[in-house]
Amino acid sequence: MNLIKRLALIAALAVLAGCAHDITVSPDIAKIDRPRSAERIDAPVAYYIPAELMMQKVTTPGGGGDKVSYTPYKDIETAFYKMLTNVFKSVTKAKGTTGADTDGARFVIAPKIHTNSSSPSPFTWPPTRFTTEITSVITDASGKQVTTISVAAEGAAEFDEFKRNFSLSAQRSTEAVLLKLQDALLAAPELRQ
Amino acid sequence: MRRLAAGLAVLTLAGCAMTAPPYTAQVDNVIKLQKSEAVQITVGTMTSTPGPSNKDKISIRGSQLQSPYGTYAAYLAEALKQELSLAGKYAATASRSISAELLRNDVSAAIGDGHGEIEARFVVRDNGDVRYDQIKTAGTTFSSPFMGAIAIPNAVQAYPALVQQLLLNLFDDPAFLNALK
Repeated sequence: MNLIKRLALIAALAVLAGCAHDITVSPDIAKIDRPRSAERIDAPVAYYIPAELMMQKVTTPGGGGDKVSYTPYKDIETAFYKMLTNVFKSVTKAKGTTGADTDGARFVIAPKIHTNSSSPSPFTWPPTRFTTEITSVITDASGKQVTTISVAAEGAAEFDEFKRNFSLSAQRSTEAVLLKLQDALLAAPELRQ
Repeated sequence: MRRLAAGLAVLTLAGCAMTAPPYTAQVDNVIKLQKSEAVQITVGTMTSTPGPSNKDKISIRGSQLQSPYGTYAAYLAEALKQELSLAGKYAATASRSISAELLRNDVSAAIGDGHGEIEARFVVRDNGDVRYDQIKTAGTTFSSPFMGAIAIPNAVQAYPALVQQLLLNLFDDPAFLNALK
């Protein structure tokens, strides 16, 4: 990249200093793959994300005093669903955590997502570090808690990488955290009883 | 200094070639397909009829928005393939196929009026016999302020949602789901 283009790109990233920039934290779902040796759990499951969480917009720090905004639940829903289909033989979306709302599921998984981001750059707003933590409370159809699984992962991206994708560190973080959650679910003995 | 930065930013975005975000399947669409009685389906030929509202490089305030899959017909093919695959209904060699012809495909980020429109003719065939042949449309609106550095990314982000809405409209058609049985 020549100097003028580089300066212009930095200017483009700096011009809205103080703003919250919209990014998407959706990972590449093609990368949410099941380990070949893993055996799926033979139980119908449902996941439950309340409507207000699906619409929830989160704002966390970027670089240069700017912020980034995104909808974590909406953004990761498809990848979360795909990860669950890698772990369980049948996956659906629940309207609630008990009774008929669970659509006949044996387990209901309710994720809570916590994110943060940062960048040491004084000139560019895209975050160079992004962390995602998912705590999944797993209950049976009667609402009794079966287990809780918490996983966290960080994603990093430097200027030369994110110049074509301002969401890169976030997407790396959500991809890594979902793969960790997949491993944890596959390894949970409570879900195979 | 701020004015200089803004000028450089405008220069950076003007005339640039940008790539639309890759398609991400929508879980509601996937579950709808999963719960249908659809047999295994492949994605057939995807074409595009060129026109003023149907270009393979969408112009957004002087910048060109390209498909990450080469063409927007290929974008629609990828979208259908993702939805069918996640629903467990995709088989590359199936006798039942969904083909489409893109008729309109445009996103505009005029100041104060950001909108997108898409229209396609979908045809379901089984061993060459036509089981469904209908045109579906979808539209979207988004915030499009004067500042291109906000309006252009909004327009870019609007494209995948526009295609998701088109497929939602298709999957909501009982005649379409019936043709997949």
